[in-house]
Amino acid sequence: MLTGVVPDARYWSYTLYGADDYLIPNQDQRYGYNAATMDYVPRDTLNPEASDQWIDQYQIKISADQQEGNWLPAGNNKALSITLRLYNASPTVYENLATIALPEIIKVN
Amino acid sequence: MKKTLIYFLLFCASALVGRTVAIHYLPDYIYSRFSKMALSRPGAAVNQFSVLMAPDENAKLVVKPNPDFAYATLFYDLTDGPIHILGAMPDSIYWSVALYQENTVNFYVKNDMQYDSDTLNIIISDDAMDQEADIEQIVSPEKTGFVLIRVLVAERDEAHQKAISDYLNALQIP
Repeated sequence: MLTGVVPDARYWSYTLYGADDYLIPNQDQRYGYNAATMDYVPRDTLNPEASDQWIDQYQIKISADQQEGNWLPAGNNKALSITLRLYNASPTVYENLATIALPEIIKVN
Repeated sequence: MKKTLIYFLLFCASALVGRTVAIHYLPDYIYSRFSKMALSRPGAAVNQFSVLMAPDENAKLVVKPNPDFAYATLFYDLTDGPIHILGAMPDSIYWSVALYQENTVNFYVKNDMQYDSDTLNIIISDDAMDQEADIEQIVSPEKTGFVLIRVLVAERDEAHQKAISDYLNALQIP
């Protein structure tokens, strides 16, 4: 599972690649998420359906089996890589590349 | 001692050859292979745009293909004169224009926020020309090179893809 905050950029995206460094075949042609397609974390996490407010955080689940929420199909790949791309990133990003908030990836059993 | 010296000299010679190949020959070789592959596609030709929609799992031309973009590509040859590129570009969507030499060195790049309007109007020449109003002149270091125009495809739905494709297919070389 990948957890992150909205980067300081005009547009951004995550793309998942298989062990061969190509896009992973899947029925929905879902290869990543971007600023427009991402579902964000509801402010009221206990009652997400009722919440109409969102915070600038998101989670993406990466697995072979379909998951609720933001999900990227991993197919049968054991080795994966994910690329975060920023377009028109703010000067703050360029000036603080070593310290900007990068997403966190954890293995979920 | 003598043997160690020979090994050391062989190592240095190999490193020198490797460096020379990597810096001076490999980029040209990659460009040559890439252009041959791209121009072998049906309808592709020098001084003519090819439009590639956002890549999917069948895209194997380059590793880590970027599905955020649709592309218009152009291999140019200025032997018969400058190339004029003209076309309307989408409003409020990220797009960019990049030019590369045959050794893959990027010598020009601009995105939509750096242009004054949503009309792309550029001339590529191998020598400085008289400046024409509203047309940006780009001097190419060589007679041949590559233009890459990228337009963001935020959604994969058909209507959005078609709208972007229409822009790219309408690019003209008057």
